[in-house]
Amino acid sequence: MAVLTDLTELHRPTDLAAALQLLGRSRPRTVPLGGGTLMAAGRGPGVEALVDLSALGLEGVRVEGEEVVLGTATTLQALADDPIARAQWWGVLATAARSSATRLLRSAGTLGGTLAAGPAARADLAVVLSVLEARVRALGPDGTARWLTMAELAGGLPAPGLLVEVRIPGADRADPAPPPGGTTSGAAFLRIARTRTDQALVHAAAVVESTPGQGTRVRLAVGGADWPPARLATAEAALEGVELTEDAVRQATTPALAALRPPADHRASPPYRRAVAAVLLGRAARQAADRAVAARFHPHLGSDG
Amino acid sequence: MRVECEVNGSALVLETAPNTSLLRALRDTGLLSVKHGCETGECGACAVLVDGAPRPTCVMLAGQAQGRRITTVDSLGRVTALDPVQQALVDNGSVQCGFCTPGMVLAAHALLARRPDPTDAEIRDALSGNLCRCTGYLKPVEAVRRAAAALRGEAPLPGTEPSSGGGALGRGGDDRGWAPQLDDPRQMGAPDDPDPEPRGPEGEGAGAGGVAVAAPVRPSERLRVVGRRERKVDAAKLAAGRPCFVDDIEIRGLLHAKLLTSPHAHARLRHIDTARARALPGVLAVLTHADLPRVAYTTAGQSWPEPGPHDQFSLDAVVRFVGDRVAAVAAETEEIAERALELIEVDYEILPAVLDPAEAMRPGAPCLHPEPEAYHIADRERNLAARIEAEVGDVEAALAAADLVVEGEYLVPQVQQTPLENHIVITYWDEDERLVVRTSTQVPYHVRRIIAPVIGLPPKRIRVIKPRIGGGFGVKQEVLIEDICAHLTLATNRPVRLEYTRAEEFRSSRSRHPQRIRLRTGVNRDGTIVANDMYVLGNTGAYGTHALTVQSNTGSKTLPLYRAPNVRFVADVVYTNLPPAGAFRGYGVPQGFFALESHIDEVARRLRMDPLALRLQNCLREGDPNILAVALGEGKEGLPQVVRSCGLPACVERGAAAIGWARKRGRPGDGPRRRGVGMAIVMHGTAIPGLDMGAASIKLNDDGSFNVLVGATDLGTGSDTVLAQIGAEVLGVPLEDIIIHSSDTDFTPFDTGAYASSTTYISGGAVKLAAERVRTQMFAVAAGLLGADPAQLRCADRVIRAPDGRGVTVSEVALHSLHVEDQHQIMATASRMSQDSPPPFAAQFAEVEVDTETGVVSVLRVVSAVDCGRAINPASAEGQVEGGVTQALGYALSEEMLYDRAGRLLTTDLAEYRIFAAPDMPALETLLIETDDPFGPFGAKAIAEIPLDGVAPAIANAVADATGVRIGQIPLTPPRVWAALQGAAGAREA
Ligand SMILES: Cc1cc2nc3c(=O)[nH]c(=O)nc-3n(C[C@H](O)[C@H](O)[C@H](O)COP(=O)(O)OP(=O)(O)OC[C@H]3O[C@@H](n4cnc5c(N)ncnc54)[C@H](O)[C@@H]3O)c2cc1C
Ligand code: FES
Ligand code: FES
Repeated sequence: MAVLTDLTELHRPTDLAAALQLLGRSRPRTVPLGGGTLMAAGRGPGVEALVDLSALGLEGVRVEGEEVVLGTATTLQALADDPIARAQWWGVLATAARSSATRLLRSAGTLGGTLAAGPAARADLAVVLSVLEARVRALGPDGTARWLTMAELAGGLPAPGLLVEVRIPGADRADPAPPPGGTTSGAAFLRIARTRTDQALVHAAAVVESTPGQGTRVRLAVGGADWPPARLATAEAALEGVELTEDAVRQATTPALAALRPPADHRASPPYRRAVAAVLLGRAARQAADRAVAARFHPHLGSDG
Repeated sequence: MRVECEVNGSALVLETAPNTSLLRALRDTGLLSVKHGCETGECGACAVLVDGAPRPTCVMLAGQAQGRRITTVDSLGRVTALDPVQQALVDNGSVQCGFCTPGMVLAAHALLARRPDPTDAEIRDALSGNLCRCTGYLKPVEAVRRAAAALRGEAPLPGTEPSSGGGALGRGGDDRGWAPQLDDPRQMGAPDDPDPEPRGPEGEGAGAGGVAVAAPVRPSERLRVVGRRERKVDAAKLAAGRPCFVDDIEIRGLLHAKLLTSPHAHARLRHIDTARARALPGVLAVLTHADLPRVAYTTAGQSWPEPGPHDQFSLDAVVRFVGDRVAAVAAETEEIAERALELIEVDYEILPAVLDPAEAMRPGAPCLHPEPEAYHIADRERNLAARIEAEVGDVEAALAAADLVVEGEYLVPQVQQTPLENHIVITYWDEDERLVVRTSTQVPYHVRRIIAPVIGLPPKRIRVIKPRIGGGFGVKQEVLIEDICAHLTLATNRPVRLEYTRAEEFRSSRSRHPQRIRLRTGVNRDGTIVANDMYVLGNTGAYGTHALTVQSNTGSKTLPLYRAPNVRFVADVVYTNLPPAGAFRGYGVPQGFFALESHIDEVARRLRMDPLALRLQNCLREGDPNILAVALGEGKEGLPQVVRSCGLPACVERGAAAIGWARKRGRPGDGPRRRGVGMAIVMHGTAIPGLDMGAASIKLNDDGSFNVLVGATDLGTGSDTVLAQIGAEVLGVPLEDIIIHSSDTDFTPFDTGAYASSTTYISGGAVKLAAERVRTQMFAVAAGLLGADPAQLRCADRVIRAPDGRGVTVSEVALHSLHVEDQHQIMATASRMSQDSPPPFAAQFAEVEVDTETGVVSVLRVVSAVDCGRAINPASAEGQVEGGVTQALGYALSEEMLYDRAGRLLTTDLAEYRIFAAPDMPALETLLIETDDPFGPFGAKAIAEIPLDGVAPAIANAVADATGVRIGQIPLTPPRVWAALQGAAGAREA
């Protein structure tokens, strides 16, 4: 099957300015190329030129102050193997990266491609980034930068521009021992599918911050195949300070989920997705809460290593 | 554009278009080890290492390789000197069709470069993108573990070592030079076997060329090659990525074909305008129904006369499913051919479509095949492609008299064979203007016979070549695209290549018949089953290929498993406007057993009996007749059958012990996650009695090697190896002295082909007989040289010996007969047909964990205890079981073709249509319970299909054990299981 039938150019610039200049052209119609795992599988009507982002130095994961910074050219496999991604937030970033597609696709597919492709990427990472309150830096053709939330990105911007990095707040510092009585956090990511390597029918992520004497705060996100990730703000508010049993979380999330519109397709019905989302959210919150408590005593437990 | 990269250590410049995939670019430069299995990065057949990381090249542009280092298997080992990973895969039987192997080798290398001592979970993750439809991943994972040890310089891990060097060149053994010796052979030393046993009986049948029934073997026979874990004879070249598949040849002037298919489920082509397509530069031919003679035929690759409906035409004025052929194009490149398709203007008159088989039978439903040319249709007004009815005893009376009647309804899905290699064919005129058809088929002889009238050439002007095949599983028992490719060669006088994409494979090839099955079982309080009544509503889709015979197997191979004296089987096989069903490994039997074996568990529950005990009480035993055999032949009256060997009780006992039945049954535990165990017993057939025939011819060469030519079609199953082992055994030589070739209609003798689990039994019988005839001729010469009585000679280890210990080598006999005295070629041909189809038996067990809150069923373990008679090669027998179980896991849990309301397929890629990958696998255990069948060669029965039969019901039964809920529909996807559990909970509350 012939792919990208209108393609006439493929560039691999070595600096961002050159990349933006190419992407800013109205003719030929030019779009970014990550690993190509989705792009090169499609006919891409109208795509006349591609800008391969692999030589821009946009890969890698680092900690900057209280933020973890992910370059968008990082491959999903590199993310899965990255020591920072495995250490921070109980390794949920690495776990979600590892559960994405297959080893071969992960060696090729990039974080940027995953974010830009939206639901087509079937991405477990999206729900994790959403619960971690990640922001994505997007550059317009003139170099102007915008910071997008995952919700804004999922909303399908007409022209998000070039995604260059993802920043996640609340990284643990090098000295991870929390001050006595200080806040500790736990995180968890869960997914279900027909088989282990299958795309997630439903996935859910939770982050819990726990301060002794003050109870817990929880953040929850849910999504799945063709179901872009959504934060459950009303449930999060309702759960503030409440003991995070699975039942409590299920009860709090059920009305919030009823307000969501999960897709009805051949994979599953909306009632199924909502019910299972509540189950996974309950389990994820419980697991995250347990981890937050465990972190108080064993800070090193915070990684998946 | 110019892409400069390093490929396998050398600088390479690829001249490509910007939108060319790296897969295409590499294949175009002759790196044919990089395979095409899909277009979405999901199968891994195209994997290479890019700067050391394994990546799919089908979803990578050639331009992305600029400046990068590319590694393919071509740089690793040669056939005669494999690298440790390749060698490990070859050694333990991981290479079946081998289409996935090069990609796997590279993925494993990338892993071992990072992790010299990986865990099994890491190995499975490393192979997660390399789908394999043949092996079940157990052996590949083990091979990677062994290769890792070898690369670390450790002594070989204990495990399944192959028995010998095995096979020809480079498979470890015998690469010594050869020069004819002039010594007097009669001076040979003492025998190196001090304890020669008597030879096996000869089993001579009818005269040369006739069809014979081989005599039974004696169990005392001592075997040297048969029964051993020999390496597959083709494994080394497959692991090395040598070009041996249909697409791996280069032909000058090759055109590329593409098919225009229908976007509508049912439509008449009012008008087709091909003028613009024809005018496109580079287009050589555009064919529509108006260009071709209207010849009704069936694509079912079966013996003549094919019993099912002849309701297809190469191209027709009516299209009957989304994906049905409208027109065909041949052009200089694939891109031009695709563009030409877009330029064909079709005016469709949309006809009412029917997708549901029950609706299709109702009066007033749209009729799919009113055309008068079609024939062998059971009832075209009611859209009945086939109707089957058989009754033994009096079912209604027995049900009325039974203590208890249990009724149930079961639903099984449409699933696809999904071999890693899609359908592909290349056709060309040879220098004599005979048409060569190089095709990925299970049935080369049927291809030749069936396409002849369709394309208007006599068989004598057609030659069909089957090279290595990347899996078939029944979908290549279909003469699917050979006709249209041939039409295009006839129209252009140019070589033409036609290959399906994965999406075309899903939309426009064949599948397993979906069925709705109703069962009524009459049983007495003591557990005696007195009657079984099965009704099947089968959906054959738009064409009735295999409709009659698949559905008749649904009854004939399942119901006789229980000794009920009253049995009825009725099937309606109905046309609908969906892609056609056809042959799929198991051939109707997995459908029937899902229903029957789920149902027997329900009967046991109603009787409060252990389901295992109920089965043992009622199942068939040695000496029992198959009570449906006569009433339900394959499309005609069958031959009476008596079970001569049955290891079923041992299968049940050993399997139950292995799974821990007594300990685990009925102990689901509590909490949201429940555990259960379930089981099923199954039987199958071995070849179609009185119909399937295979032939072999064998000749002796100067050096004592033998050419064995068989029409039998190895499609990755290992049949070439098994047949060569049988030949080597009889001829008294090691496996590497056998050069086996399959199949080429010009050179290899007839064989019905690879289906009906027949090859080892039928073709193996033919090889055995031909080898015995060759041996008789060798002994005649040797007797002269030794001055001994030919009846007293025996041959082992390449030496023919007299009882006094003197001997001559096989090579000496060859030289003598070819060059010295009474010169003649020692050679023989034999055919084998059987009136008997000895059933293999199996007991299959599953242990599951059900997450009752999400509906996720995790299978923890599958145990298959299989009675396959004697395993000619235990490694390949296990491979057949492991691979079959894995396909059945998909059937049970994840595979299902789904459509929208207009009949458009939704599951068109390997992400949506989910087959099992390495990390998805439960623990697999295979127990070969060997019996000695009196008819099979060396006691062999079939093993190819039976492992698929019992897995789905065993899993459904285990889910019922875990949850108390019977789910009568597969696959057991999370939403389906969840809905059933919710429904049951709702019912309890109400
Ligand atoms: C068959 C299949 C199954 C998959 N299953 C899963 C799964 O189960 N879970 C999961 O998490 N993921 C899954 N994935 C997604 C996988 O992660 C993809 O590899 C990834 O989404 C695409 O990355 P890429 O770099 O190859 O993107 P590309 O194909 O290169 O690009 C995809 C799109 O993103 C745009 N783009 C790329 N990079 C940027 C950028 N930096 N800025 C702006 N736009 C950009 C491109 O223009 C294009 O439109 C699956 C992918 C495939 C093909
Ligand atoms: S993954 Fe590339 S051919 Fe299937
Ligand atoms: S051996 Fe793996 S697909 Fe055939």
